[in-house]
Amino acid sequence: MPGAPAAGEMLQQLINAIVFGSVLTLFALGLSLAWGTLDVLNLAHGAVFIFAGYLTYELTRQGALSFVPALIVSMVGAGAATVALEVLAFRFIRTRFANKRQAELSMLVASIGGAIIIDQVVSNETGATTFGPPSSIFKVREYHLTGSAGITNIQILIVVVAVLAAVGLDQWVRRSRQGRAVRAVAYDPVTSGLLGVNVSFVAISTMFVAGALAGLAGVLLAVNLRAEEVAVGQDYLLTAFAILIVGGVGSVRGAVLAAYLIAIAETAVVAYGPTQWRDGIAFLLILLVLLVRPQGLFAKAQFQRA
Amino acid sequence: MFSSRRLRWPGGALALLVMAVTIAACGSSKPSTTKTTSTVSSTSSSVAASATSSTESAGTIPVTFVGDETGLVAFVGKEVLKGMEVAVKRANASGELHGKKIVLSVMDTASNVSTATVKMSDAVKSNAVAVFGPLLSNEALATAPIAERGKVVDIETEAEVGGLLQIGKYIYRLTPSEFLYYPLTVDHLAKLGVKHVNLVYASDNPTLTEESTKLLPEWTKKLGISIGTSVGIPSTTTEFSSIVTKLETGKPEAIGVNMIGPAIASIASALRTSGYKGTIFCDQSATAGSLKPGGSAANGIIYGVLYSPEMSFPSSKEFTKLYEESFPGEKPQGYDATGYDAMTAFADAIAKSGSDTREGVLKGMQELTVAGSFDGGSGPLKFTGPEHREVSGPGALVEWKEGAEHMLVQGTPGLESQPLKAQ
Repeated sequence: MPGAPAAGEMLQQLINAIVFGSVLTLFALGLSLAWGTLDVLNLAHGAVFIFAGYLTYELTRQGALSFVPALIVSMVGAGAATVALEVLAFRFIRTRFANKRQAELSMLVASIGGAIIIDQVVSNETGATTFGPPSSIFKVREYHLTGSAGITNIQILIVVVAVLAAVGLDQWVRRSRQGRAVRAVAYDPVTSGLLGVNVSFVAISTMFVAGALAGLAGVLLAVNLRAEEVAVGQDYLLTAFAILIVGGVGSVRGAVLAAYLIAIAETAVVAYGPTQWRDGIAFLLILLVLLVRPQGLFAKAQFQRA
Repeated sequence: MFSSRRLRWPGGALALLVMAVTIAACGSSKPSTTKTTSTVSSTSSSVAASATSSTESAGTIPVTFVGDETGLVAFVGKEVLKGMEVAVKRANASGELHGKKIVLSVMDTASNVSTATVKMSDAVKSNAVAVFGPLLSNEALATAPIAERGKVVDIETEAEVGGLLQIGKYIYRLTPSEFLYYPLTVDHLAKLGVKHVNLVYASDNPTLTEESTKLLPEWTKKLGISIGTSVGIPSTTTEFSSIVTKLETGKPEAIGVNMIGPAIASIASALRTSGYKGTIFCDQSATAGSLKPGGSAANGIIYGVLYSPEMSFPSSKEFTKLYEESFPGEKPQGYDATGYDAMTAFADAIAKSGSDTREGVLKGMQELTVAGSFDGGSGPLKFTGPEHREVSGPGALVEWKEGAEHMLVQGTPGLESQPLKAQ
């Protein structure tokens, strides 16, 4: 049947897009959370993402830890690194700059500094070369579907974890007491503080969750890719900006939908178009959205915040 | 081999810009940091205020490696330096330098063009009689004119960019282009009976793009191998599933992965996980240990290399032995050999001219090129190209197996490029 291979290939590319969208979702959720609630455009998010992959590599290469404990420790490590940035830099900037724009710009620059430091640490420890956790920590197996299409167990895990993380974060921000505090701080930190919200704690816990989400994505990607280098995090950061702008800053649901939209668009270009234009897709979408709906496709107003 | 990779994110670009401005400012106001390598005399050459020296120095021959010891290609720079250190040790012990000893200093470019130009200027102002590096093509293009204007021989390694040697007579490139021994890989594919290959390559890397879109199609055509899908992707790509699916279309007997960095192991792993059983071949970028993370999925990957510890040439065996003595427990790799080759040629030039002034080094290098070849760690290297200021080498074809390279074929020395024997 001549059409069968094409159908199988199409299904495979759809699966590829869903897996890619799931990685982007995990990556973008943390960035969106920090930006949407604390106005921190954390350019160190990509470095934290790779830092988690590096931690897993270090924790597993001598057989010290198995996959799940290494994942948890790496997520905590990534969260701690982000909290360190909040405590050492962002918090001071927030309190010292009355002008919001100045504060945002200063935090942007501070996060670049954080990214350089984290990248340099990883680079020094890995000899600035390729690294990845040993294949023995997670035996990757492929399950054949129809035709030539298949999906691996790590890909299934990525999709499931991304969906759970997105739903969990959405519900946490919308329904939990802590989530309401996050939204209140996002809306007006000064008034929130006057009303009894511990703004400092909210900021630290939010940054920890953002970092841990980057860590979760970083570890799963490291296992899926098998090999990483420091620059990998920066590439995801670029696509994540597109996701946030297309989805609407601070909108969890928007970020998820935008992540899958961009993943499908980029995969389609690779599969059926000029492959080298893949990265251009994200920027084209940014441009279109900025022209047509500057607040993002899924933001109902300037302030949606989850 | 290296071309500059594009900046990957706005933050990185901003950070690099800030760093470049800072470094440039520092470079203009205070002396640069210079490190003298541990294998040589502690009488370090100072960059500070020493004027350009054309007089022979007493007892020592100062040279500087303006190299990438940190930054994007630090993993290469560190190996090149180790190779140089081995060659310095050998030359100093041999007595061929008329009783003098080479003192090697290092200036770190941090894989940054601005830093590299500052460091090259410092090196030219110093009493160094020759400079080596830097490694990235864009760094080399920016710094070679400084060496040329300073009338100091600059021996490049790794930077394969076109136009480099046209900058002037003081510029040499002593790392053979991979284009010269890539045919060994294609020849082997033909011998395996491969008739149809698909290919992915880094479209933002000029060397890999030329190799993949121009040379490889010519070579494969001569051997009756057709290239089906040829996919160019940015070297920064991190999502490979869709590309792997595309590479498997048409069930090719071999798939080429002319990428750099972690992409090679990631694509190979994805191919093997999806059940691909054909041959995977790639560019020599795989030598930088980038296959290790691939584990067993990387077994069987073949690629051409400049140097293999299994080479049978006497000079290669000597290099391997000296390296293992200098760095116990370590196996030399191609980048070590390029550093060794560059420094060996320099020592041979001093021996030939009998002078260790800058003019003497140039004269010695010119005499060496007239001789036609010299014996390096990579085997007999033949001078070729414009004014014979670059070299060709035999190279070898290796297979990655259980975490190590194993030589399959050794190239033939003395040729401009390796022939396609299977045609």
